[in-house]
Amino acid sequence: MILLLLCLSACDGPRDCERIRDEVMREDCRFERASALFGADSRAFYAALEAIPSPESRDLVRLRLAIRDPGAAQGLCREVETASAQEKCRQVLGRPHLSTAPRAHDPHPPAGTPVPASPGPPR
Amino acid sequence: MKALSLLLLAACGADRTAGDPGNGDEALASCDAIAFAELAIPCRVQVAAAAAGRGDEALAERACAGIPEGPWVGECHFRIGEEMARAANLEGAVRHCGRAGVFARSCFTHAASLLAPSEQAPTEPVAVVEGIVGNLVRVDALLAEAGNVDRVEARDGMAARLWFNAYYGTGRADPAAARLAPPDLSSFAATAYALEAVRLLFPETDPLPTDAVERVRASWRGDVPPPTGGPLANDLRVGRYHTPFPVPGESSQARIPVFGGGVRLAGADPEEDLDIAILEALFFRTATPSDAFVPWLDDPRERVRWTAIRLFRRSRPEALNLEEVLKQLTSSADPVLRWHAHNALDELHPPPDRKHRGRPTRPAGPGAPVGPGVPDPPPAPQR
Repeated sequence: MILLLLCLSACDGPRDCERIRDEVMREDCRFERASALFGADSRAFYAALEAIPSPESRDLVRLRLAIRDPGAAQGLCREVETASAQEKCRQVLGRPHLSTAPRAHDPHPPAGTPVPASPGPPR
Repeated sequence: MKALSLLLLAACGADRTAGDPGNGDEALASCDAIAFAELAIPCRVQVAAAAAGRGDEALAERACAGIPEGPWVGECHFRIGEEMARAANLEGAVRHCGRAGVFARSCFTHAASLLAPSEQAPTEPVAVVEGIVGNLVRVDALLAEAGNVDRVEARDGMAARLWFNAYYGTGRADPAAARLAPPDLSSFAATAYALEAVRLLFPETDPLPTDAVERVRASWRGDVPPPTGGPLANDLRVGRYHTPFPVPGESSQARIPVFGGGVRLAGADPEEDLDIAILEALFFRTATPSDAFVPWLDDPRERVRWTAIRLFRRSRPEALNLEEVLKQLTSSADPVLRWHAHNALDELHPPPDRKHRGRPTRPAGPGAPVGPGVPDPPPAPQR
């Protein structure tokens, strides 16, 4: 965690995550970068996602976000690229009540505001 | 290590150890080995559900306890509650549904739909009633300890299911137990009795006789021997139901939950309540056509009429012209029947603006699903 925090404070963008040699820390770096943008800046989120070089790693970000915020799972899972991630998504999407839980990680919508399923790709 | 292998690593231990009940702790350890905390969460939920299904509540508890605060803790207890209901563990199901947080209401509805009959359930009428009453006393005690839960709704769902299990699919429709039910349980008991009586008297493959309601009444009164027949396997104890929908004028009426997450009106007296129960049971019988409910549309008792119109419009017609009957009902003296008629005609011919939106006013038209599966909670019943 300390190493990750050091990395996050030193890195400027998703490309800097690619310099991290440890696989798990590199995936964590990509995730932290993307999740900071998720729900806040849709265009930047998708740019960060596209900058991740492999579909498995992009799906890892999507899955982690979907589990952290099941209300956004439908949109995120619609975009997964690998069969493994699709399988994992089913565990979230197969339980539709999960998407009705209060969203703990998105500070942006005021209370009572209908929440979109996903920011969706930028146009 | 490649990202692909990281994803594969995230494959939950509950999957790997499926069919290997002795390996529960290994399954939990495999969740802990997942590199990413988020992916360990659904893994733990799977381990908890599998453990609950095997009766290993301690492992299920440990699996949920490792999940960070948030909706997944509730989901974990929700899955335990469902699996315990499937395993006929009523108290375990209630205990964990009570801990399902924001999902508690859904959990109780699912558990009530899934609760399997106990293999040791008595058949002697007094013992049947005492067993159900005793179970509900324990349910009440557990609900009193539960968090933010609608205790009346949760208890009523369980009461409906306990009576359902006492009758439906058993091969015995002896009304003795239902007639002994205390007043607060009599509607649940009548519903369950009627379901089994209808199943045994009127097989799905036979045409429904025009005197079906009277024949079930005669059996209830003891004028004829109680119907008996072959029992049904638990997974076949399903029937037709429809999703509840709000009806103007009904919201202030006493209602009770029934199979499939639905609700039915309670009768003003035992005789009226039995007739409503029989009509509901006829609807549960998938082959019953709309035609069977027509004679009850002009019954002098309003709750019987309202039940009949709701079931009429949710069934498929056999010989009658459904649209013609609905058109006639638009001039009924009963405002509830008029509302149903207009609403049903709107469904058959959606106004242009709704066609464009492509959204019906409510789900499910005639030909409702056969279940119960795992329904959403109904509108809160009122007693």
